[in-house]
Amino acid sequence: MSSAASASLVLKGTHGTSKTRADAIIKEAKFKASAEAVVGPGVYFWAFDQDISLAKRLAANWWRSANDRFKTYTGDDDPSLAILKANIEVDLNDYFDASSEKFLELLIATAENRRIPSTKNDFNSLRVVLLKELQDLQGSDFKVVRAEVDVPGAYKGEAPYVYWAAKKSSYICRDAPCTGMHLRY
Amino acid sequence: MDDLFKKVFERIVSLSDEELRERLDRAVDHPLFKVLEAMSSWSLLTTVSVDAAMKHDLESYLQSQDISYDDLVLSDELLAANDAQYALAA
Repeated sequence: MSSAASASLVLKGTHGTSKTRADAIIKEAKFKASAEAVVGPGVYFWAFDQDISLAKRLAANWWRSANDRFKTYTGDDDPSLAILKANIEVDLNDYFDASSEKFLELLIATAENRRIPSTKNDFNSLRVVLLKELQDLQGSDFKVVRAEVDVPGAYKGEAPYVYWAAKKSSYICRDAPCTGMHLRY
Repeated sequence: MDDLFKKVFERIVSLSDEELRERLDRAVDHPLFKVLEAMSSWSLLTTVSVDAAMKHDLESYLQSQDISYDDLVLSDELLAANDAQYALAA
């Protein structure tokens, strides 16, 4: 990781938000990591490779979920849905795949040794503890972390394949060096 | 496990229970924890025991899938048989 020659990756992701916020991101040509974000400071994307359709649906579901559960966009001039597609440019040394087999094997080995998972939260906390240890050992923080997450909750009329997919990769960015493109529904 | 991951494992294994508990408690403010929690299909159940979460998952599964109770009993029996085979192989 840290000793690798510098090379960069370009990852592709979608981000669901309000039109007001999307306009601000496009205007500034930058995603800002908000300290008030529902899921903590950072910028969050649904990963995709060639076909954006599922990542677009999940971005829309996140927007609905954030509205329903947390009233995130209440107060925005235009709280209606906007979906941004972004290229996330990151140095290989600053990227970590928390869904890799290697990391999962470390997670399971540690959980078994320390008898950790009394709850799902404890198990997820252990992921973070291990990630922080890796960062400490290599002497720098990862800027983009890939993680597999459950897909957001069900909505009437949603295509069943969204749920059958069960898990979907997301990118969690401290600071997102992105180029964005506005896609409006 | 490569060297870096081995070092991480050894560091965590060497922590006292109190030190590890403190680190686990601090981890809940991290974006990775937050996003896993927010997206969890058990989002209301992330603080309950594994047994309670599995019970909830099973109930959801029974309500949402085209599968009968008999199918589940059969799958449990098959799993148990596999466990026995696995134990013998080990």
